[in-house]
Amino acid sequence: MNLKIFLSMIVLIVGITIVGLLILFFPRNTNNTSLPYFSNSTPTPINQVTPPQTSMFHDIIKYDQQQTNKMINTLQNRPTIPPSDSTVKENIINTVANDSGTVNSTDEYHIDYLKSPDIFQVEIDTTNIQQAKSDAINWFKAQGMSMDSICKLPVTFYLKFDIMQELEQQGTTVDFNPLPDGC
Amino acid sequence: MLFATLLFCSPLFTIRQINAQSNSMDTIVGTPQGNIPSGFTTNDCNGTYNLTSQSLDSTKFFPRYAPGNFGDQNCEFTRNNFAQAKNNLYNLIHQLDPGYEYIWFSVIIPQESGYDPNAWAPPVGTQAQLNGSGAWGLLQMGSSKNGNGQFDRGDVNWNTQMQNAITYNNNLNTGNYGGWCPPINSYCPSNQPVTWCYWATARNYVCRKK
Repeated sequence: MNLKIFLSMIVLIVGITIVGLLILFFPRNTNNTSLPYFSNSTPTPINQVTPPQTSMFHDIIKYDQQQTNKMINTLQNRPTIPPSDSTVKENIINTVANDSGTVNSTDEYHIDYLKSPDIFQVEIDTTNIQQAKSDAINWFKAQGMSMDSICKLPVTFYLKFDIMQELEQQGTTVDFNPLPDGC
Repeated sequence: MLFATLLFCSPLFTIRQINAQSNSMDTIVGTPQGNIPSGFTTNDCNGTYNLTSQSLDSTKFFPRYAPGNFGDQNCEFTRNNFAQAKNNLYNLIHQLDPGYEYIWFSVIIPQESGYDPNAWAPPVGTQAQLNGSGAWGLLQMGSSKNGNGQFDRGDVNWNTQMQNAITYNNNLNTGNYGGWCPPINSYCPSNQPVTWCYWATARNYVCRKK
């Protein structure tokens, strides 16, 4: 009887050990993990100079260079806007307590006011870029802002990273104007 | 029997657990080892960031979910605080590189990442030729893996990303990083190491040389 118990324990211990070893060394099924892996990535040798970086979206999203230059120039040399439009601007900024904040949002865009640079930025959250731009501009107009002052504020546009990815995935080439159309 | 179970199984499972953690980190940051972002977290900031990928096929990285929260470790760029975070980013740039705020803030960053500090381009296609671990952060720079100097690092928190980018850019004046600036426009001397050459998005708008 005692021998039987002893042998049973030996068998049990050996079994547990085998199971443990299998768990330890059996390769994991990576298909069950939700994390990305780069097993095919090629390491770059140390001390090798990286070639010029290009924007990942450079070939897909083509920023209008002339309009970008115009945007930079407007940002660096702010034109004045009429008093009536200055009042509209103040009213908009007052909605975020005269600080940085989001002044208007829809499913297709967010309009942010940034206090330090004193700019309005529109983040486009849809691939229907022209519609989003048009709707955002119409919101400013609905507040009482003239088109001329919308250009002078300036209001600038950019695409959310997710949208840039989506456009690239679609292979859709976009000519993007960071300023409102017509400015 | 209980004793036997504890005796034989506990060490094995402890080793398994350590092994799993090690594999998990390698999996997250890519292979081979050496690309572990400092302060790397799995905090998605209440759903602001998609940190996992449904596709494990390395040739199909869409959507490009970041392999972790490396760029916004304090969750400052959540939508509710996004304007304030961008304002803070602008202030940092103004402090570090006065005179070039709008090149960084209104040209390079929106075109590279759309102000997403966790933006990550996987090492596939064109990006694979540039950097074997992808492009990281606001400025889509390198990581510890590519060995392109300590300042070609985007796999760090957003403020360090910005500091690295400005330092790296200024160092280009000295030619420390090679002479690969292509003649994109007439303002940049051809084939000379000058600033702004790293970012194709900037080359068309500014060029300076000490």
